[in-house]
Amino acid sequence: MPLPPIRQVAIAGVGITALARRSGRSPLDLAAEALATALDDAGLVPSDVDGLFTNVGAPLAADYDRMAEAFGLPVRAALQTWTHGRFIGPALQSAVLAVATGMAEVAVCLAGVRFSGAEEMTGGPGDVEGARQGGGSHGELPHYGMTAPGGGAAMAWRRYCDRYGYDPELIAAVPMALRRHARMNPNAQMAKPLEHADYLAEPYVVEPLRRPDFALLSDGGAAVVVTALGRARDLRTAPVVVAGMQGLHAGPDEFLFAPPGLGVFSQGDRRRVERHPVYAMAGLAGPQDVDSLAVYDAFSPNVVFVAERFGFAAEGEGLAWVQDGRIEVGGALPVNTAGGLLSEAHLCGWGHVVEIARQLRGEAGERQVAGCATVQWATPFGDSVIFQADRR
Amino acid sequence: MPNTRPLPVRYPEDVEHLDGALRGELRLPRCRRCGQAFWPAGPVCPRDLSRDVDWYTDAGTGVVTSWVRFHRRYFAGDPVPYVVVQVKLDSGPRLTTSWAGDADPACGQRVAARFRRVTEDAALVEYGPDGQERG
Repeated sequence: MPLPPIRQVAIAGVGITALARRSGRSPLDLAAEALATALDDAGLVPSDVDGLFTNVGAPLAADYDRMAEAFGLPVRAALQTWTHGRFIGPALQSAVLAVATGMAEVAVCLAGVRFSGAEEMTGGPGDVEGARQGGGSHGELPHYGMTAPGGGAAMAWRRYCDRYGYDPELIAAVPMALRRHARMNPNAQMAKPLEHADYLAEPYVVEPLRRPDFALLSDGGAAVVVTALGRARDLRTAPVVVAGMQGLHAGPDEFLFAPPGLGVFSQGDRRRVERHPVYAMAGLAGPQDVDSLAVYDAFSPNVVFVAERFGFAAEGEGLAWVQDGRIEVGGALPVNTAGGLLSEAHLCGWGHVVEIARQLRGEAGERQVAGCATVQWATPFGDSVIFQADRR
Repeated sequence: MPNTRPLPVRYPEDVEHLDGALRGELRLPRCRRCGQAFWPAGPVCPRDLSRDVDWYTDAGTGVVTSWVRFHRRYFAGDPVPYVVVQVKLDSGPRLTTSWAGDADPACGQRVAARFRRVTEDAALVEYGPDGQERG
């Protein structure tokens, strides 16, 4: 027997907790609150949940087995990836595929994240991954002092700016735009204005990147309820349809925080035009059909690299493209409208999915993108999901 | 766990490179089937999966393709700020190492390898301007 025909899939509920740099709360507590909020949003109960998917675990976050046990979830399809925010796409896609094939009926993507007390994981003596054979996955080589994901991001940024003739400080447009979005999001942490002079007054962490270019390591929880579109239509909240997906890329020409062929680490120097099947799968002609973009903005340059990788901007034109309000609410393509990892919180990406659902449900308040019908999730590592309002 | 900068781990495929650094030689792996040098080291050639890999002593010259300056002190005792550089070797591979020049590196600058003893048993390759090697 071949696999059965796949079902259409939707997000039926979302939940996010209060966010803080130091909450004093356990990852499990944060996850419990997010789960309860998302189930309430959907009108479901814990015994309905038979799929559990997450991209992070201990010591940063709550593990899938403890969450299922502690929250009374009868799970028959579970996945927990290597603890990195980058796997939010694959974790979400696995939940979608589980529902599409009938392996699960109600799959919850869930993360309770506590960066406070775990900051050392991201650089210095706790950089265990940097001692991996061949170096860490963000380019870490701690014996050369090359530690922390920001080191690799800064290396890619210098390379980009030198190759295409830009002043690296032009990247300020990205954290400035996201700060403006955060100031319209009552749940975001960074409410202080960030204008160009403020940006330049901030210290370098790894030059040429400054503090506002780095994600806001935070404590918080988020949950996303995934179910079949038919079932979602009978639930409490308007469904958000999963319209297209493509996977995480890897290989010698890939570096996490750079487009292929930029020429950092083992990459070659030849940029190339890629196929992005996510658009055709969603019935779109291309990036011009997207109303809002959600980028995994662990570091500001990721927005530029996604713009070029997915064809919103041509090679070498991404940094010019993000200037002058284009990526702000009211601009041509609002990006990370809740403030993103830079100004809302680093919840390993799940805050973006919550915001995507709010935008497509028309619940984003002051920061609502007018006529928002299609939102794309995309990362510099090549994965993407396109979401659409239900057009029944 | 020590809180200072660690020594490189001696994985089986890294021993030749690390021991070469102790002798002041930049030892790199090269595929005998396709003839290409590659980095980081590994058990097979990343182009053709060949196990027919041997080691050669690279001239150690190349150009800077990017660099960063760490301002945050991640490891105790690190002399911040310090510079980490990426160098594309004339032979092809790109290395990430410490910068040993007096002035800042510049993208496109010609550079050459030198070696710094970090303990009795370990040395690291680093880079500085070509023609100013200090051994």
